[in-house]
Amino acid sequence: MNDFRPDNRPRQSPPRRFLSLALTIGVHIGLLAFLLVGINWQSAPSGSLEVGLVGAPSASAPAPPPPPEPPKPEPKIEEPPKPEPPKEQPKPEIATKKSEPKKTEPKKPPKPEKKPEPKPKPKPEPKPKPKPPEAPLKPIDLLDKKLDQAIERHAEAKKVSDILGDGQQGQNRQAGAGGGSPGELDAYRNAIASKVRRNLATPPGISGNPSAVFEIEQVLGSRGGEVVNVKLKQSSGNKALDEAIERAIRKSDPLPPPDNPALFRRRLEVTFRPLEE
Amino acid sequence: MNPAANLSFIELVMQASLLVKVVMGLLASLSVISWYWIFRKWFQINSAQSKANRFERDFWSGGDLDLMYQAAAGGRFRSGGMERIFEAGYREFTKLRGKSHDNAATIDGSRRAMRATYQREVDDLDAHLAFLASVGSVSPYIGLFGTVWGIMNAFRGLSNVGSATLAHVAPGIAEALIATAIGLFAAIPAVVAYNRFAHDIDRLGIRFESFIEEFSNILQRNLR
Repeated sequence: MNDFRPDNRPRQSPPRRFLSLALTIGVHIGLLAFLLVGINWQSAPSGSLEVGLVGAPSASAPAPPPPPEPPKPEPKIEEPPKPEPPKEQPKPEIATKKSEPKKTEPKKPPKPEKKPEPKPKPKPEPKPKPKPPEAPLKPIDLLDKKLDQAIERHAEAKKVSDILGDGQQGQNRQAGAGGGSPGELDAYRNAIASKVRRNLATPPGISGNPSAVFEIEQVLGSRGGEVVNVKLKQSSGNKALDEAIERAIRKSDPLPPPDNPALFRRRLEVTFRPLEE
Repeated sequence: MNPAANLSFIELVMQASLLVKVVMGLLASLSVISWYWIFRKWFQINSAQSKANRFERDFWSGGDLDLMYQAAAGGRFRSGGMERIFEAGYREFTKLRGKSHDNAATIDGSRRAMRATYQREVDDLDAHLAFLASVGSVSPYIGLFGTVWGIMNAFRGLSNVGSATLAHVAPGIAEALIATAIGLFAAIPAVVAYNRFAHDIDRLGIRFESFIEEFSNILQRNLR
């Protein structure tokens, strides 16, 4: 009697099902693409600290100090005015090096000047020249020390380290400013630069002003910044020089850690200009 | 747990421990299924709404009830919920009118038939919404579980290292947090869709109910 069919619901039309499936897949592919491409995980700029590694600071470094120079060294310099000119050139650095251990000079300034110095050409010259002044070594050393102190004071006063790349200085400070004062950051940068420079043996026959950019990946371990990876980002054009720099970076393996741990960067960008004048 | 590891998304997922990977896989499949149902329900509710609009327009523009019933019964698989309610009510009405002389019983019978169809229709629209609600409420907890587990492992690994630095735990924590991120990715659309669909279905149900009342009045008038 009752022919009423209760279930008069419609069937779901299949096309909708496939459309839904396709859209679902589309949504997830889009999401995945966003995660993989859209988000720059571990953004490089915030993690990198640029360290300018400039070869010989001698030529450019003594240039600024003259102002502070006269007042102090003047009284003692009067006798040995002759050794002065050679001292402006890279050679006497050797003398400084020799006397360093005895005199316990301020460590920072002489270190950077030791290694890269001899390269430009002084190799033949240092032997003949420094020997004559061997006798009056004392005054020269004294003068050197004074001069170095003056350089240091001057550099600190200006908050500009002449060891570093000049042009990028301002940008670097902003880019690397994660925490800590600019002074601390400069000190950290100097420490890294000087350590790498100490281990660097510049190959002969390099002319012009080549500059290479390296990216160092480091991890803060117990010994300091342990070098994990060194990548050449921009070649200097000279393969031997690139290799020498890379060797130097690897040799200085535990990179000095910063005094302020907040300044530590996983990625360091080192710009190297060995013949900077 | 190598601190030197690259912190890209794929690396983070690949380095996760097995349990965290299982959690991530579970959440990813939950996300896929819930998105599938979001689209299915979206199409279904949209089509139900447009069919109800069309039927209401046709119905209130005034036409012969018999003709309308023929059309509804003929196009059953194309008709919308409101049309099927009308069809069930009118069918019951015509049957009872010939047999019973009790007007109130006739109207009651057709109302019961319409109510039954109405409940079936709403149930059909409601299907699988509970799944979306569950995904929305549970998947953040699943993700959180994966994260807690991953962080526990990261800190346990830390105890083996002499000097503890942030660099040692950071990758472990980052990979663990991805589980929470995936959980939220699955949960947020599910919650939004659930709320939206529940609201739409409520409104459709109210329209169906008011149609039942109004149609009962029309049937009652037809009896006299």
